[in-house]
Amino acid sequence: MNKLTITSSAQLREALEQFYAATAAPEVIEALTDYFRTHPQLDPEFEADRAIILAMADAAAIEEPADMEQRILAATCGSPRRAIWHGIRLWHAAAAAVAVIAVAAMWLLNSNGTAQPVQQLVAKVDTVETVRQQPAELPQAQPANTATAPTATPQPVDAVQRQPAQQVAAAQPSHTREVTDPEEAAQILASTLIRARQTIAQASQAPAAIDPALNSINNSLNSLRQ
Amino acid sequence: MKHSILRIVLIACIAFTSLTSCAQTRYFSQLAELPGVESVYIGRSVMMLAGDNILSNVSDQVDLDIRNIKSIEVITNEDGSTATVTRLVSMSSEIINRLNMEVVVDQRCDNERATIYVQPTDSTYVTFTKMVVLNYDQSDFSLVFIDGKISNTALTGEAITDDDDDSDE
Repeated sequence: MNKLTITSSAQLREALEQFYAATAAPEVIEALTDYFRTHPQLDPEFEADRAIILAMADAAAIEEPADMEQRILAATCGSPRRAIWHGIRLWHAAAAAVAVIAVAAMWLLNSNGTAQPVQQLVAKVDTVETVRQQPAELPQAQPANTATAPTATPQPVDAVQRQPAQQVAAAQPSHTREVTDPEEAAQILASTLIRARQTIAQASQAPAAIDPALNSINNSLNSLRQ
Repeated sequence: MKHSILRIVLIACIAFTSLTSCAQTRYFSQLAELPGVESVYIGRSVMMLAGDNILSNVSDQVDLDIRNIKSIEVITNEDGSTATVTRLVSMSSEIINRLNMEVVVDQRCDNERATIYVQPTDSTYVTFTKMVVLNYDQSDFSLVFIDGKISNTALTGEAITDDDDDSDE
C-alpha cells in the first residue's frame, strides 16, 4: 500500500481542511503528522496547525492500561473487599457516636446537678436562691468512723437514731444558694481564710497553755520520788 | 483496623475532656442534699468576674488572687440538730479522706472542734490546691471548702511579696 506523502503547500492546505472538517482518512492524518515532524522549518501560518496535529498524535500514542476499567471500578464501588471495609468503617463511626452519647449521658446523670457549666458569666449579678424540697428521709446509721464524730454530744448516737422519722423529716429542707456576686464571694473567701488563720493561731498558742500543766505533773512526780 | 480503634478512642477522649472542661465538680454536693442543711456554692465564673483588688477591698488582712480559686462550697446546718451534725461530720470525713487531704490543725475546745485540712501542691507545702475549714459542735456545723491555688502565706497571714505573686502566676 502506497503511503500518502505531502509534497506541496497546496496538498498541506487540502489535508488540513479535511482534518478540520473531520473528513480526513487515517492515512491523511498520518501524512500530516509525518510532514510536520519532518519539516521543522515551515511558514509561520502553519505553526498552530503543527502544534495541534503533533499534540493529537502524541496523545494517541499513549496506551490505555489493560486493567483501566477494573481499576476505576475498584477505586469507586466495584470492589467487594472495599465495600466490606466501607461498611466496617460506617459501623465503627456509629459505635463511636453511640459511645460518645453514652459517656455524655452517664456523665450528666451521675453528676445529678453537681456538674454545672460555666454559665453565669453574663447576666446574673444578684444572688439566686433555689430551694430543693427533700422527701422525708430517716437518717442512716452512722458509719464506724468515730474519729471524726463530735467529741461530746448531749445525747448518745443510738438515741439519735431512735428519733421518729417524722421528727427528723420535719427538719427544714436543704437550701442551695448560688452566689454570683463577686464581692460576696470575696467576703466569704476572706472570712474563711481569716477564720483559718485564727484557728491556726489559737492552736499555736496551745503548747504554751500546756506548760503549766506539765510543770505541775513533774512537781507531783518529783514529790512522789522524794 | 488499628486506625479505626484509635479514632474511636480519640473521639471518646475528646468528648470526655470537653465535658469535663466545661463542668465544675461540687465535691460536697451530697451534704447539701440533706434536709436541714444550707449550702452556698460559688463557681469559677464569679471569681473570674472579680476585679484585681476585690479581696483587698473586702479585707485588708487577706492578700490572695481570687481568680486562682476555682470554687468555694459552704455547708452549714440550720436546724441545730445533733443528728444532722453527726451525719454531716461522717459524710464530710469520708469525702475529705477520699480527697487525700492532710490535717493542718485539729483543735478541740469544750464541745467545739475546728479542723483545717489542705491538699498540698507538692512536698514543699508552699501552695495548696484544696482546703477545708471544718468547724462543729453538738448543734452547729460549718464546712468551707476552697478549691484552687492558695499560698501558705494566705493561711499564716504573712505579707505576700511581689515574688510570691509572680510565682503564683
